[in-house]
Amino acid sequence: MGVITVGVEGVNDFHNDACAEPNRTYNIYRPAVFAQTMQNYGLPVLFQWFDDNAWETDFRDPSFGNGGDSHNWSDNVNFYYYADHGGNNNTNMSIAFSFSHNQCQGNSSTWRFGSTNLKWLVFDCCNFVSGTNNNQLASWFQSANGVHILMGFIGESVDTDGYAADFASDILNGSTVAGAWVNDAYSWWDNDFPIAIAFGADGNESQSRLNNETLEYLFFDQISVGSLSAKWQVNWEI
Amino acid sequence: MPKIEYATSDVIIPNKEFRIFRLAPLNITSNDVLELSKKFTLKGTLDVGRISITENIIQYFESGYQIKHCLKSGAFRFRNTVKSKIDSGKSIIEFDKQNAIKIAGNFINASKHIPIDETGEIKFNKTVTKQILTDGTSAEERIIEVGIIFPRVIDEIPVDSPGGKAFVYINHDYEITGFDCYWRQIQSTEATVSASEIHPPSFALERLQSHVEYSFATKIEVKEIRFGYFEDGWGHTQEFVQPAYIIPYTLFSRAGIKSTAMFVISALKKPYGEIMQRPPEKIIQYPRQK
Repeated sequence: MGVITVGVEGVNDFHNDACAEPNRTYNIYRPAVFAQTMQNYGLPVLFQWFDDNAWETDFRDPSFGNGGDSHNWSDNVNFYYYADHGGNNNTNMSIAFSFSHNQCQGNSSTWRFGSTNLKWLVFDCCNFVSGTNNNQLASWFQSANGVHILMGFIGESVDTDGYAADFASDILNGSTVAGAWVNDAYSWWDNDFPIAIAFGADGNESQSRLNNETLEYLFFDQISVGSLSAKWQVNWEI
Repeated sequence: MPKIEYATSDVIIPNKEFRIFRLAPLNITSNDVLELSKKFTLKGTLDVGRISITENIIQYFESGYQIKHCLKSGAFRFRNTVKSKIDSGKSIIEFDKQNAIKIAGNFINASKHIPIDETGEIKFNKTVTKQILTDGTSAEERIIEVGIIFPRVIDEIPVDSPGGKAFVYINHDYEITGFDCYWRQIQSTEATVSASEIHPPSFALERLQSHVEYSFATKIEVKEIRFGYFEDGWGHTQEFVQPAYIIPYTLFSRAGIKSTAMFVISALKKPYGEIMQRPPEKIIQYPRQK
């Protein structure tokens, strides 16, 4: 395996100001545990920013101005893990920051993941997608600019200490990235429904990444983005 | 802090005696994991497989199969990594529920990992795949794996928690591709209490109100209060199994963002140990400069 660089951020504690959102309990713990597990394996963790140190500009692509600095942060690592509140209006995902730098909320319309080094990204937040119809899934095309796989949850997810170490351990031991996320982050009891979206130049490539991509695919980049393949695990009433 | 909005009627607590159980201690070794792998027809030897040991997990890998054993909870997972949640291009278009239950039930009976007579109503999950091209065309959404879920019931009370579940996963060929077992072994009955030694549901609601006091929610919504035995999930040690109140709740922010969480508290007036995990220690960082 090549040397995979890691970055994590998370927001637990908000303030009673313009950025106020309900406080969380484990939104720092999960990224910190993910980083620790990767680090224990010898992988470099380039940054860990929590609470007021997690900034909207870390996501914003420079082409959108307003201090967009993603090329130095979220997109400067190969694996980025982020835990926070999340909302989604079916077209764009939004995330909430406790400190306004330069905004209280980030929005997927300003994200272009994979522009530099990013291959895999976990949004350990509610509402990575609000549902799984074509428009809701295809809304992520706008933010895919070379990233291999994006991961998150369908609708709301419960704030638990859960799956981050488990997920890191699995991918470090050769499990596929998408498969490990969909396996490990699922909870029947909590109604946590994980989803992974892989991108490729065509359907064969995106499906192959979804089925087979491990951390060994670090240097196996896309030529273009023409297709996405998604898989998700949900409770089923039958 | 707004008062909790609670719209439904209280859960009814059965007027009976409740047992509190002491769980069997755990001392899982690499040899245990190798032996466990043999129950899944693997060879379970380091001549053909490899072991990975971390602080809380022992894993064994052999020919595309994975056994993962959590040292804290005793839970384990088996996966056929070549076939689990892999889209082979075929799908379970017409899922035969009865056939799936039969296959999973036969596996549970034969493997003896859990006692089938301690299971409640069978539930299901599914893993689905879909493909979309940038020109807007899309392939049919297909189910690639189904999970048959066996929830635990103790003394006719459901175990309402992440633990106390077994999952059998099957693919489009009705082949077993995975098995998850979150099912702690009971060592003994520690005590028996009467219904009068159980808090009313309002107690749990009051405790939740205190729990969320310092959040910045503008509204807190509770849709139900549940009552059941609580068995924790994958990564947690646990000493006792006892009756508990389980409250899923939703916090609303000024910006309209919703966030959900679960509040769990012992229903006993004299609880046995702690049920909810203590929050992790805060990580305080110096203000970031750039």
